[in-house]
Amino acid sequence: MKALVLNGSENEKSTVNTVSDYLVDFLRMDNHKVDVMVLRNEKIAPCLGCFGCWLRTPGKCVINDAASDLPRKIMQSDFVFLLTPVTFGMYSSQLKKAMDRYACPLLLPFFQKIDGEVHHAKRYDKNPKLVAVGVLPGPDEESESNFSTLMSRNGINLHTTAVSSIVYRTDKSDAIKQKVISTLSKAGVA
Amino acid sequence: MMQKPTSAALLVGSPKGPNSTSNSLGTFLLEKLQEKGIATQKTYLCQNLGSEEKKANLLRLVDKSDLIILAFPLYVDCLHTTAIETLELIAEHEKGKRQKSTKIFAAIANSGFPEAIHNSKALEVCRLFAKQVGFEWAGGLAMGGGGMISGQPLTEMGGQVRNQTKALAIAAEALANGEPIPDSAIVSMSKLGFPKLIYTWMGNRNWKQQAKKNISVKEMYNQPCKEMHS
Repeated sequence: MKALVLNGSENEKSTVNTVSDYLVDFLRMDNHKVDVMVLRNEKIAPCLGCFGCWLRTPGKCVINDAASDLPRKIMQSDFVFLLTPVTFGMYSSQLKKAMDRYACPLLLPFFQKIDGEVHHAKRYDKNPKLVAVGVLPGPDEESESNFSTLMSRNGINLHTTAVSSIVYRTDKSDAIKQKVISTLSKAGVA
Repeated sequence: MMQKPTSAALLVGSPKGPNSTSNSLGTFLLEKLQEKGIATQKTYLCQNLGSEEKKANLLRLVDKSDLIILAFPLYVDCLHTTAIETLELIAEHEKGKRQKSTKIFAAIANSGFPEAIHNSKALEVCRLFAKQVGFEWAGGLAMGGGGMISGQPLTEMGGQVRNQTKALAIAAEALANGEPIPDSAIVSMSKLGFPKLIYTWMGNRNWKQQAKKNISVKEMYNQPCKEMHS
């Protein structure tokens, strides 16, 4: 099994990095092939909203930088792990700049109805599963609920399943490990 | 009851800047606020985050405004990365202040899908942002079918945006009086000016027409990463 880990940590000291380290260790111990991108170290331009990936170079972003290869990396993977601090109930700008760049190339512009709602049709028959782990300073019901629903909505729009979980900055390392294991189990990885 | 604002700043959170639906919607609201004697200013976030100096200018604009309005398009169920970066920047700036600002925050979201409901999680993000930084949340307006506007002034679009102009006028009245956006504005904003089926049919046809300027319709379905998938 192949996994792509997108680390959306805000800095070197972020708990997101601890989650990433445990996650990568578990996956490698289980003989999975893992590719990690620490997004804050990559030069990634924001999506221009130009729709070039639909209308000029279908399936490929027209910007040439570290995110150009993301759709290929994603389609090579069985699981994509999205690691991020949760701010205001959503992902960090670091993670989102990558998401904005890979989402449209994986879809077609055409509208399609799914469970009564209109969404974009899929470009590929099968997309990898999304697994998100968000880090909060501590328990925060509203932020956790929004993050979880946001991830479910991402799953619907990207024609895949998405699972998410929350780690608290105050969690001890054993608790973080346990949460990572339980997330992997929930996603059907381990 | 919030305090009546005397100044308002519109933050346009679309990468398309002046040519965006967000700009069209936000500008219409800003003009209505101006008519009520409120001093207004506008900035395009895609042009104003590129340097420390630009960020400082953006924060100065926020500091001097009583009412902040974020107008943004939906990207992957949420805000575009530049709008998120802006919220992070403002939150960090506010955290450093000894005294909490007494500001009002409102949002206008638009999505290319015909249903306004797609915007709900992004608007909840805006509410949580306001709560966290200590701004008064005045509410959010959401519309579907945003693709039909694409930077056109609403005043030149006639009946097809009648529900949106009505909603923005109601919202301006309330915000100018220091009141939250009423439900009637939220409901009106969410209504498409024509049937959903027609919007999706026209949308699909327009994508093909636009693509044909550069490629064939068949090429639109290309799968450049297909051979990679195992």
